[in-house]
Amino acid sequence: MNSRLLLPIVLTLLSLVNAAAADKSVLVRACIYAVPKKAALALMDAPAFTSDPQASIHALRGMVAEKKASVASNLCVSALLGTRTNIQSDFMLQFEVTEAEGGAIKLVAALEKRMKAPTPQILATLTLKRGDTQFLGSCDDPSSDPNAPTWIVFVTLQ
Amino acid sequence: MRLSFVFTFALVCLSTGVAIAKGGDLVCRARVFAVSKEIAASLLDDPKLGGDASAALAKLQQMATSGQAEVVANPTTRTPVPGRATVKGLVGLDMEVAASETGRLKIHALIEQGDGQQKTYFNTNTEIERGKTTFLGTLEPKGEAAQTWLVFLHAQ
Repeated sequence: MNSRLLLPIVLTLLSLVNAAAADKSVLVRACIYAVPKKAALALMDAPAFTSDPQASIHALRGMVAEKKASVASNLCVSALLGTRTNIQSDFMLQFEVTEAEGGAIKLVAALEKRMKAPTPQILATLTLKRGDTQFLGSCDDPSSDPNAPTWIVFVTLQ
Repeated sequence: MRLSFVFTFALVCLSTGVAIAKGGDLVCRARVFAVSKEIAASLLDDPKLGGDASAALAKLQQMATSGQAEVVANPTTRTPVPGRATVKGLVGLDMEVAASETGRLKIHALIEQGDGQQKTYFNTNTEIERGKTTFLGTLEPKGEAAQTWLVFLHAQ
């Protein structure tokens, strides 16, 4: 092999090693929308609600603009693959991200609303790629008030 | 002969990276901005936020000038690498720093605001680079109605 080619090859390998290292960090974001139960039911009845999360989020943002829903929480935190991370506000999100097949990332998450028992909680496992957004789940305020919210949660990995 | 030069060069590159990560004290400056939850939801859509967050930081600084965002805290501390540093105040920062084998800096940080039932915090293990701004995460203080606080870290 021409030794002049070796230097660019080695430098490329070095940059790939650095890029692989950079990929160990992932930004995990859970956006939680509060939607009145009846409106949430209608929204989630849409056939593409889970398969087309961007369209669902677009619909939710429209409802937020019209004051028919609100952004309840933006939980966002940087995490290293293979470690457990938690973030707490009115909601508590605990998760672990690990490498999955085909460059995907497995997310095992527990999200709960901090309030008196019975505590609304979602436990879910998702497989995503960087840049993906997926519907994590929804949970309801335990009160019998018909105007009490359903919390709809989408997760994004960056 | 040339082959050995190439490998020596590669080793020098690697060791320089590690030396840069290890060398000297690290000044860690967190910048915390408050925005409405709706604006935060839109800002957090930025796909570059997980990498170099300097563009997002510049945007927030502009928003702070125009009154759409508010600068709420600037906790700054200094530590050798490896080491541990703590700042207490409106936003508390407790972090351990170590050099990673990749030449970056591995950090374990607890960022918190408030206490007791009012506490909002996040706990993160991540890797950062000297000289670059990293977005660490969000806080949502109880008393601050409908606000999300965005936390950036710049380590120099």
